[in-house]
Amino acid sequence: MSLGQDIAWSLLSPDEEATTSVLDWVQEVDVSDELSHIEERFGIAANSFDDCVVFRPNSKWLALVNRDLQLPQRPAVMGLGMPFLYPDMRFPRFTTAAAIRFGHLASRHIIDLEDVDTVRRFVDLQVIPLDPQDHPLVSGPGHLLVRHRGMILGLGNCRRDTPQWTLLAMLPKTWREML
Amino acid sequence: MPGPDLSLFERYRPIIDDWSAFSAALARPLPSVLWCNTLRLSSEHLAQLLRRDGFDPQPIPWYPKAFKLPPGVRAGKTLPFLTGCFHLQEEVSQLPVVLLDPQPGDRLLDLCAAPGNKTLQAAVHMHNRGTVIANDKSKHRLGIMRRNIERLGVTNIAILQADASNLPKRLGRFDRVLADVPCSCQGTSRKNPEVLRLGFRPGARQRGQTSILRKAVQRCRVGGRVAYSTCTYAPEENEAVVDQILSEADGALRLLPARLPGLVGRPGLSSWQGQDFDSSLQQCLRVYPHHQDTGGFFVALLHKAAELPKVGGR
Ligand SMILES: C[S@@+](CC[C@H](N)C(=O)[O-])C[C@H]1O[C@@H](n2cnc3c(N)ncnc32)[C@H](O)[C@@H]1O
Repeated sequence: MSLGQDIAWSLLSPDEEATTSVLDWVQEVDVSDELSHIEERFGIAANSFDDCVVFRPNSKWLALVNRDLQLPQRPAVMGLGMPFLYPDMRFPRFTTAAAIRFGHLASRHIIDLEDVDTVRRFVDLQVIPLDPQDHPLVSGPGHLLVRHRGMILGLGNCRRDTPQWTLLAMLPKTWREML
Repeated sequence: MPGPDLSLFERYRPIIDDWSAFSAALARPLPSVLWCNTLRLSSEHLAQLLRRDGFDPQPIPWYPKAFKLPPGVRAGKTLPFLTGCFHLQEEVSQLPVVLLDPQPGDRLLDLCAAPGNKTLQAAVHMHNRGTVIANDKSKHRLGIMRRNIERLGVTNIAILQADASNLPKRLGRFDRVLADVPCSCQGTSRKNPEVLRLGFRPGARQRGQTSILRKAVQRCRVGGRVAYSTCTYAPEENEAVVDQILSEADGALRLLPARLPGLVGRPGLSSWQGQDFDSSLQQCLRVYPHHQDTGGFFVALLHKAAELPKVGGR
């Protein structure tokens, strides 16, 4: 074999050990509208997620994964990242995993439940009466980040359709069953 | 109350430094151990939260991010667990990642990863940076790992489901590789006493373990590190496997001392039942339950100094 052929072969042959990128495996979804909604509601800057790719692993949620992963060419990647957003709703919201992970970045619409019994009732999906005066970071109804001793527990929905305000947890069953 | 029936372990009497302490430890319940999710809070803050919940967390001397709790404590049913502040993992099972010490930008391969304890420990150790490739052949066990990924909120892990010994070159090369192979699990008898009643055929798993370690060293880059670990005392599944791969590598691999300040352990064996191993096998680490009130464990830490000799397919 001549030297020329050797060189041509090495130029054509793909590098078997080269890595692939996240975008070779998933299609990035533009979530700028969803993130600006979340920024407006919670004060979490939309650019906090610039290092990540958001994609749709199934019909239920969008997932988040680091943009700079160096993935294999083979075998097929079966799972990436963590559940991030429930999209396509009037009020897009974080998944519980994302609320717990990124809730500390929020500056408003956070409610502190310090009393352990109240936390227990929140996790048990009981309706919790709220006095807005006690919660200075809440200015109106809608999704709230619920915090206990500095830990975000997840999202709750605050309503104002009775004389009193109320809070109801938005925690998935699998999550509640862990307790 | 009589202690557990240790007839299965009689064969290890000659290599265990203090048989009565060993058997006494096996009769006691195992403490719970957890490590802090430092992506979420500091270990000091976690210790504070646990104390407020009435626990008495004792830091692990060789790994200050981890805490020991008394046996029977249900830490997995607490809010700090639910909100991903910590992960429960047996003390000795935390050793391979600490020894591998993966760095934030590294590419790490975990060949037998499910249910993901060490994968998650590595992902957090790497500050959620770099790339963690977690492979296992069991779909069911990978499902458990996904739930732990969600709870701890890590975004640097990709999951594969394949036979580790058959992974292709196209996986690429890695700075760190972990081969936490399936084994006879004898070291877990405090948690799973049924292992004492299961039949044991020495060496029955050796071939599979050797092919997984062979794949690990092939996929490691020159200059990188491989950790080989089991939770068994059986030298057939430990030193014998590492000895075989060292001899195939013909000098391209070197054992590093698997030692940590504050950790009590014993060196790897240099012979077993008439078989001599390379003298460097003493760099491996054996941990017995009576050393620091844990399960039993084995780790070898390998440095890949040069390309492997070309024999067979890679
Ligand atoms: C000791 S457990 C791994 C524990 C895991 N590293 C952790 O820390 O959570 C061994 C794992 O190897 C997997 N396994 C067994 N044979 C395998 C193979 N040939 N390829 C890939 N995984 C395998 C099993 O499904 C099991 O999950």
